[in-house]
Parts: sequence; structure tokens; C-alpha cells
Amino acid sequence: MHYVKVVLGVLLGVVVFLFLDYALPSKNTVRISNTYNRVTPISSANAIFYASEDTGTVQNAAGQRDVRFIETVRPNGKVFVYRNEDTGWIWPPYFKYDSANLHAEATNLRSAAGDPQWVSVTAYGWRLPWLTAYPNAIAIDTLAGPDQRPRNWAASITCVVLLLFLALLWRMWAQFHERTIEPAVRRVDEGWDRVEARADAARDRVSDSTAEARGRFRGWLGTWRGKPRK
Amino acid sequence: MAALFRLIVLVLLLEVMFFLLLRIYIRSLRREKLEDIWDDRHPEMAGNNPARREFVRKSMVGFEKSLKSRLIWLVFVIPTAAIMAIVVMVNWQ
Repeated sequence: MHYVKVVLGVLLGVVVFLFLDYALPSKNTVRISNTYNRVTPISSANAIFYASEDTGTVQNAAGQRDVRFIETVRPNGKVFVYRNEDTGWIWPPYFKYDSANLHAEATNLRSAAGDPQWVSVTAYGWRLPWLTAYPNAIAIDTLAGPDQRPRNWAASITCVVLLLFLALLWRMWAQFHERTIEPAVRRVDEGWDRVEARADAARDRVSDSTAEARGRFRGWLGTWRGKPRK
Repeated sequence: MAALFRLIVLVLLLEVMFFLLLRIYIRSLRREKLEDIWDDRHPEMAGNNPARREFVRKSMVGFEKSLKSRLIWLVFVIPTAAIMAIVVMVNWQ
């Protein structure tokens, strides 16, 4: 049982970490090399990594969507591709509906390798090539050089707020347990003790009277025996 | 537009839920504090008894008007303000 609990706890931790890693914003220092939109097939396997259908993105009957993309190069030379989609009003809670503006901004900041304009792209999500999933760009800020790494305040603040929220929920539950559940359990226990005490008393009475009856019966049987021989 | 309406309803429901939970929580904290005060003042009448229950009931009368109790209304303000701040920060450069 102990190992089951440990395994479940570790799994829960991994799921929470992956969830936060996906949903919280991350910042990357990159150089934008190209921006375009492309008709992209969205299957049931990777639909979870795209905006939901009611956010203004039009999907045709074949399940294809015109998605904006931002191609970038990182300071180490590796490439990274962002998608640029509205998020809608519920999930993930970025409430982004300016993807056309963001795209114009990205196009404006395009630069060649010879004369690079470094930018910090804030995005959430994962790049999973085998699922054709791309992180969604949220904001673009210009930087002075490729070594600049702006602090990710949004994610830090969100983590702190979530921790405080967890602590509050824990205190609320502890209070509820101490003031409501424990007294109720105690009441039930006391009631049960009373029932048991009554049952014990009744059993004692029954065993006493049976013992008495048995004694009398034995005595009566004894009267049939012959008198002890002298 | 329907999505925005859905968001408003959902956020409002969550806020109402947390308002009620927090209300129960801080009332419970206050009652516990009052019971401790009574036990300190009347060590000979400590524990759960009618006199202490009456004291707690009377002391809880104006609790809705206290600052702590009024601060719970921030449950309706802070998340809504945070959502609006996110909307502004994400969509305006």
C-alpha cells in the first residue's frame, strides 16, 4: 500500500508539472526569420493543442484550418516555430484575440542572419513535431542582444498565487475537519459506545439468568440421582 | 459573444462558490477564537456548555459588518480585475 501511494503521488506530481509546463507562459530569445499562414490539418489527436473551434478560427469540412505561423531562429542556431492563434475566452486563460496584430508585429520584426533583431517571444504550449503541435505566441518584445533573457514575471507570479491558493484550501479543509468532521465522529463514537454498553449490559443479564437457570436445572437433575452411597 | 457570456457566468459561479466557502471559513475561525476567549475568562465553565454557546452566539451578531467579513467581497473584485488585466496586457502592446 505504501508503494502504491508513493507511485500515485509521483504520478500526480508529474501530471501537475506537465500541466503547468504546458499552460504557463515561457519566454525565449529568438530572431524572427519568417511569418506566414498555412492551411493546417487538425486531427482528433492534436486538436487539444490548437484553439477550440468557437474562438473565431474557421475550420473547413476536411478539418483544415488556416493557421498563422512565426518561424524563428534561436541564438544557438536551432530553429523554433510558433503558431499564432486566438485563445478564446475560457481555456487557456490568456484571452488573446489580437493574433492579427501580433502577426503584423512579428512580420515587422523579421530580420536576416547578417543584421539580426533579437526579440523575446512569450508563448505557452509545446512543440511536438510528431503531433504537429506548436506553442502559441502571446507577445513579442524587442531585445538589445541575444544574451538578454527577460525575467518571466507572469509565470512566477502565477506559481506563487497557485501556492498561496493551495495553502488556503489546505487551511480551510483543516478547519472544516477540526470543527465539523471530528465532532461529528466523536458524537457517533459516543453514541456507539452507549449502544455497546447497553448491549453488554443486556448480554450480562441474559448470561446471568441462563447461568441461574442452568444452576437450577442441574439442581433439579441432581434430585433424580440416587443418594450418595455411604 | 456567447463564449464571453459563458466566461462571465462561469467566473461568477466560481466566485460565488468561493465567497460562500470563505465566509464559512472565517466565521468558523472567529467562533473558535471566541470559544478560546470564553475558556480563558471562565476557566471554571470551560468546554461546550449552554453559557459558552450563548456567549458565542451574541458575539457573532455584528460579524458581517466587521472589516474581515467585508474583505471577503474582494473575492468578486480580485479575480475579475486579474482577468481584465490579462486581457489588457495580452491584447494591447
